[in-house]
Amino acid sequence: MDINENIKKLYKLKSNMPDLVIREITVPRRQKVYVLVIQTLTSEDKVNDFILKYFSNKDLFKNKTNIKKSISEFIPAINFHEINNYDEILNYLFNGFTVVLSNKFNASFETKALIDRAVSESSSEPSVRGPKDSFNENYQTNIGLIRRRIKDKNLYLKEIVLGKKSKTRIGIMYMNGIASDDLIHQVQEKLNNIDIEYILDSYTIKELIKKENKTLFPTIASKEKPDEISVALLNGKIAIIVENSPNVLLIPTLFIDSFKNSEDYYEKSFYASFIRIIRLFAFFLAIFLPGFYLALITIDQQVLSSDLFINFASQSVVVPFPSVIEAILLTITFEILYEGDSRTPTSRGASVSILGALILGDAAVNAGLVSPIMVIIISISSICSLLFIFVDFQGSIRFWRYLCMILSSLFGLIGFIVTFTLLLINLCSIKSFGIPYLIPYVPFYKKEALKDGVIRSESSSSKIDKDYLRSNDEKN
Amino acid sequence: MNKDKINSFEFSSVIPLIVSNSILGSGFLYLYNYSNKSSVISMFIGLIISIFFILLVFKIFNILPNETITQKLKTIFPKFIYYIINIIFILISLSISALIFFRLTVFFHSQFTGSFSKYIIALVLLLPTYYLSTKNIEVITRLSNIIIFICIFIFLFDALSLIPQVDLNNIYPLIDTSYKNILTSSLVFSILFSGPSFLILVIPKNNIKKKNKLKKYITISYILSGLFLLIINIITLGVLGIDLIKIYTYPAYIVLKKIHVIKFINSIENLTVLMWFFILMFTSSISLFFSKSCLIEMFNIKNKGTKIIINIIMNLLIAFLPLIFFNNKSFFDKPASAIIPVILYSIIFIILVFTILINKIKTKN
Amino acid sequence: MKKIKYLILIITFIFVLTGCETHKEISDLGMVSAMGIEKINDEYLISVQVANIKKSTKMGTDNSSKVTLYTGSGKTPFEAIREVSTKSSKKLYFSHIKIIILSDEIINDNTEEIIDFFTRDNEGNMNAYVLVSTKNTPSEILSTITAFEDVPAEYIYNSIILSEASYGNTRILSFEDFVNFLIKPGIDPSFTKISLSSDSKDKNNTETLNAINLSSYINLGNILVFNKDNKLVELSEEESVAFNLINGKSSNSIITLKCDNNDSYYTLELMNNSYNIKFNSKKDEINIDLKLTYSISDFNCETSLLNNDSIKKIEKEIENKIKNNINSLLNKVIEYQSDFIGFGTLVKSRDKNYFDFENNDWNKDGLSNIKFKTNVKVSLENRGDLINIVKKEGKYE
Repeated sequence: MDINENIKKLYKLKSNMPDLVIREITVPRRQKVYVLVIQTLTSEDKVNDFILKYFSNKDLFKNKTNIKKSISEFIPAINFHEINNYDEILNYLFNGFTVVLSNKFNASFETKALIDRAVSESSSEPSVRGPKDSFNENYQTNIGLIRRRIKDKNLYLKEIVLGKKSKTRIGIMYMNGIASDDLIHQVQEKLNNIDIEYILDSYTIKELIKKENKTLFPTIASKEKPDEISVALLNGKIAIIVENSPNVLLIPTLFIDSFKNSEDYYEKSFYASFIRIIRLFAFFLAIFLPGFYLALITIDQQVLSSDLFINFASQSVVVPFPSVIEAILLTITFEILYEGDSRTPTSRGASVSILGALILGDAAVNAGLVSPIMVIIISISSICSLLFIFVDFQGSIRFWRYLCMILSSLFGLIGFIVTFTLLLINLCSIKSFGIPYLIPYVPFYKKEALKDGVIRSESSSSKIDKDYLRSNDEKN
Repeated sequence: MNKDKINSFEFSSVIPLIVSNSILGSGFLYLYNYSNKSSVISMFIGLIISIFFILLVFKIFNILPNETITQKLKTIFPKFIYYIINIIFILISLSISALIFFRLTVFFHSQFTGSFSKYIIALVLLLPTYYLSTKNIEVITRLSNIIIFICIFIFLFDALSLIPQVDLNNIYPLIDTSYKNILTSSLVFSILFSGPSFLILVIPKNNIKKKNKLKKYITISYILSGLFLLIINIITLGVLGIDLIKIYTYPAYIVLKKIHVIKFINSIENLTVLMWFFILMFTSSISLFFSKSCLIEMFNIKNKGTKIIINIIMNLLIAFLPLIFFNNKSFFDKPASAIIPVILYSIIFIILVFTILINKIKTKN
Repeated sequence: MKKIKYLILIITFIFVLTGCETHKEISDLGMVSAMGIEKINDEYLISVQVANIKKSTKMGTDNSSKVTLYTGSGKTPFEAIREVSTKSSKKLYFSHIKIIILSDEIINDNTEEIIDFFTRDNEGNMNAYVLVSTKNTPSEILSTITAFEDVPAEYIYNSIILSEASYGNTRILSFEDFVNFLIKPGIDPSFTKISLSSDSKDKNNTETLNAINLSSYINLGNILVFNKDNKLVELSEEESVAFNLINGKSSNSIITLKCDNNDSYYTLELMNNSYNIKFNSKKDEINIDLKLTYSISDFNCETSLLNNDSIKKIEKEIENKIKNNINSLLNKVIEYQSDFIGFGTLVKSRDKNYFDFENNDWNKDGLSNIKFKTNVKVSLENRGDLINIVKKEGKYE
């Protein structure tokens, strides 16, 4: 490596990259040492520290200095690499390292700036009890938060770099001996086959890996809390950590995982089981309630008792358009309301909620545009879908809810029954990386279902059942 | 196909669903009209007779455990006979599927939404059937696992709320007609009960994991399904009485109209019909799967596009062909319409007996 | 993604093809709660009571009636109903019918004609209760206004259930049971009579709703049975109560007896009724065994309740009275030659070779050979809060 050539190339880059600082230091015996940093990525304190400490070293100014030896022995940094070609120089520079170039020896060490958020509470997954820290965008911090909880030598980490322009670091973490080898091979293969320009968030990886079943239900989950990830890792799942993204992916994800919350492990098991059963009930309510009501109102009025009949009839007499249109209008208005709620900053959030409550709750009913019972039903259904934190899951609930409403209003209770069957068939046919989606209930694994399914038993940290997450080919 | 592993519990949960299907249709009509109040006894005798047929099916299941029924027939019979027998199997299972689907469509057309045309209802009911037939055997058994629990729940709810209305005077005396009638109706019942069991032959035995409990699960599922039908029979007879039953086409459905649990729930039969829907749709779809896989294995079709086209054509056939032919004929409302499934199942049983005999001769040589 | 596209395509096709024929909004339906059938000049006259759901956006006091009555006539019942629907703006919906009132001419002459209409339709109206009116026409009865309930059919429905249990002179008969009793050999149907009380001048006036003194216009009367000439005849009140006692249906009826010391009466309330009817084919006997438990509700006699003899005397009196009632009921059965209690089905189920129901008439030939034996056993208990009776001072002993 010719140092003069490299320096010339770097000076050319400097005209379009003013934050690249090249500092030339002359050492006795006419040797030139160049110190290079990209100012916006490194912390100035550390660089100044190095220059101060190193170049005030008296040994350096003796005549017989061996630059290589002095640099490698006295560098006050622990993450120290030797550089061998020009591409590596750029690579290290972009990762926030300080590069020291000299005639005989080139090295780089880490002086990264902390341009991240602090580790704070998660905004999208709040927790009342239990640890509140969540991942931020720094790759090292995220791994550190997990390592802090599982202090075991079997926690393996494999790193890849993906993305031609973004060169994002991706880390795969798993517990050796608990996670299934087949799964690890599958994931590694799929990641290695990715050919993409840039990766900005872990969601991109989610889409690229998940080509197995085109379903709407989530088969890869993304979480922000390290305690949930640690529990999942100990249960045999694989975590994928992506640089610059606070969402860590978990593979594989099953149907029952959408109903679990980390809070359940920090409370009495009786209460936790009760809440999970309520979540399951809310799932079915969210999908089927509007369709059921529409089927009863428009086609199959036999099921209602006579008091309910008179009640519903006297309310819907007021409304000028048919019930289906009323239901669809209300649902769309609720969707717009939610979207607006998540986009406005907190300083303006109050007016949105007042507007929504006034418009939908009061004025529309009094004006005779919608009937109160329809508002109640659609809002119960929407609130029930809010219980689930995965946005993917909410999307799938939405699709099935619309399908149910359309089929029920066209065909009555037959349409309702047909939608129920279609949902069941869909759930049964999903496989998340070779593992059936409805484990542990439909291929019934008794220990796992009783321990941590809908019902959580008392001691959930007993022996871990390694069998149920293995794909079919591994078991005999 | 040969790679899918199935749990033994899931496998045995298919059995109660396929076995109850023809009874809910024309079987009950035949039983009540030919053997009046002694349908209870004839059902009991029929269950005992059907043990013979069930053992026949399972004997074939145990021969050559690594192959499906098509492959077994291929190894046992010479080539020309194998083609004929396979085509007979395909046609019979296709027509059984068509019959069941037709009955499902007619039932829904008469009870609900009286002014839809039958074709539209067939199209709607075809949606889950088609969707299920595109999946493989694993999904079908998983679905039957879930359906069994739902059906048990609905059945217990119905039975427990109807038992207070049973009048024992409607069931006594137990023997009401001549012995000849009782025996013929029990024979018919036994064939209708054990007939659909041949559909499980599409799964090779080696695809089932954990075989140590297989026998236990299968016996329990047959006993439970026999008990289920017996209880339905007793309750229908006890609540309605034989005279009222004879004037209705679907007595086991009319009896559901009498459920009054609290003041609020008095028309729940529209929801508990979910159980009937599941049983009929599932059987229709699994026999469609049977005929489709027989056809594909016979001609060794590997092209994915051809498979999809065959699937679509078969689905459309079973849905619309019976409607076009039998639209104005009232043959299926009469009790004698039970004779058609009996003939079809008997043909299959005869073929199975031949298979066992020829296999025995072959292994002896 | 491809599958979702196909699904959406199919569903849009279905949208286009159906045209939503069976789409009936709930506000377009008129819920029929009661129906009356009678025959005038060889034509059926059907009156339906429809719930009146109007567009009232304000929940103010609404003095209009909550139901309206429509009538129509035709040669068959179905034709009459079609004529009714020409008069109403909403489509009539029969699934929630509670009460069907038939006039007695229909029962006497054309019973089978109306049954076909009700059983063929699949809208689930076999659970309606059937009543027969002899004195007034069904359309008159259906146009009266009742207290407590907005819908008069609910009032009749609830009161018939209540009075069967607590008074005992009515009988719940659902339409399905009615059909069952007609086609079953060995039992004849029996009905409850409904009529209006005599002072019913203001029955159509809505102003009387606000008056406190609303004497109940609708009367549920005693049980009607068929007599020898197939005409309807009314049983007396005590015979109706005895009929319900044999069936075990009246769980809380009362009985009033005269004191032997003075001129006042005392009333007892039935607490428990265990009944058993046995058939002995060799002796041609039917044994009716009743074990009743009564409790004292209203005692105005001078006998003391504290010694066993007086208790036994009271029990004996009750037994005799009930036995007499049952015997007069059984005499009516034999006299009218109509087995409305259901002895025929009991005989058939216990011993099927005893009588040939298909070729012979049970009412004429079979009943006359049967001997009835009644056995009533009464026990008194639970005298309430009082040990003995309340006496004015100085009058005791």
